[in-house]
Amino acid sequence: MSLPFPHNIPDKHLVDRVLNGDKQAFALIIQQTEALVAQMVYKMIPRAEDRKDLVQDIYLKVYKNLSGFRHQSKLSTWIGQITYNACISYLRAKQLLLPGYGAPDENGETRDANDAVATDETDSRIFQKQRAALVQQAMEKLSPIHRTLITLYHQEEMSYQEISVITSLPEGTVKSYLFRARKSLKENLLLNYKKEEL
Amino acid sequence: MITEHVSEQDIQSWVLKETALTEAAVLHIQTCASCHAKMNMYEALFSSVEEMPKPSFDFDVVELVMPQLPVKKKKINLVPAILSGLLVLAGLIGLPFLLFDDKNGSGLQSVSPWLFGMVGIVAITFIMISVSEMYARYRQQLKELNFE
Repeated sequence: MSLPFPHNIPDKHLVDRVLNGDKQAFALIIQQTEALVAQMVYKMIPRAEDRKDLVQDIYLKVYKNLSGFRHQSKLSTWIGQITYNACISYLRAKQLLLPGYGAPDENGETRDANDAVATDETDSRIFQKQRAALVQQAMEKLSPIHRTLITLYHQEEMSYQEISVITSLPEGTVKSYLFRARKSLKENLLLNYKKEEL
Repeated sequence: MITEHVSEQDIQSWVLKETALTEAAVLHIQTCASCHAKMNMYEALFSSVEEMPKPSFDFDVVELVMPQLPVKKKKINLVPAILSGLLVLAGLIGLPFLLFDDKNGSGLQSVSPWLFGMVGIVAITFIMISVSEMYARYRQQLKELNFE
């Protein structure tokens, strides 16, 4: 659907237009934010058939609550927050969110020490072998929350502060989770590589 | 040069250019095979993640959502309605005085300026409300056509 609007309208103007009953402005909001919503939904929702309903719910929630948006963050960050909460609720309802999901792994340090030697030997060769596919596989093994954090930081180039707003986690916790997520990603990648070698 | 390995958290942060390491730590990373391998690993990993294709929905989100949007009920501003109601009431009360208070033989001559003014206000108010509604409707139509 093409829209008769320029794509650089400030958030406040767009929100005001929607609140004044201009539905075309809301369509533009959807167009401007659906890439971020897609990133998060694809990273957190495993069942493809549930994504459509969830996306619809997310944007209806955005529309309904738009009058409560106080412009304390970017509109996309606020919509990201709604998306994150909707995905977490979905995962909880489907019991896919295990207790302590995304929390630091207690055995992480031990595993790290054991992997250090293997890392030396294989690191330089890993990235010559179907790197993209292996990284993709390694990403899929991460928890939904870790996957989302990695995506927001490394692909969407969001700051820790923005991720903190989206996830409602303290900034320090976001940093700690991200450190753990990157480390898990690296370890998954090494495991994938070893499996490929066998 | 330090002999202790640099922590993995510091290596990550250094690769991401978030924190600066001491010269000794940097020297260690450059000379220690283990730390150097970790640094290379993270560099390659981060660039791979950045280059990963971004997902997109296989359906049109705008077309999916727009028909589902609830119709927002327009807030009716009751102030003009109450005001005009009061004025109409005042006009209705004043009208019998105008028509039937014929003590001096001429209805119109016996009209007090007070009553005359009230009737005038009612008429002007009605005209103003009508014009303002017409203008609002015109603005709304323009907005719908995106001419603004």
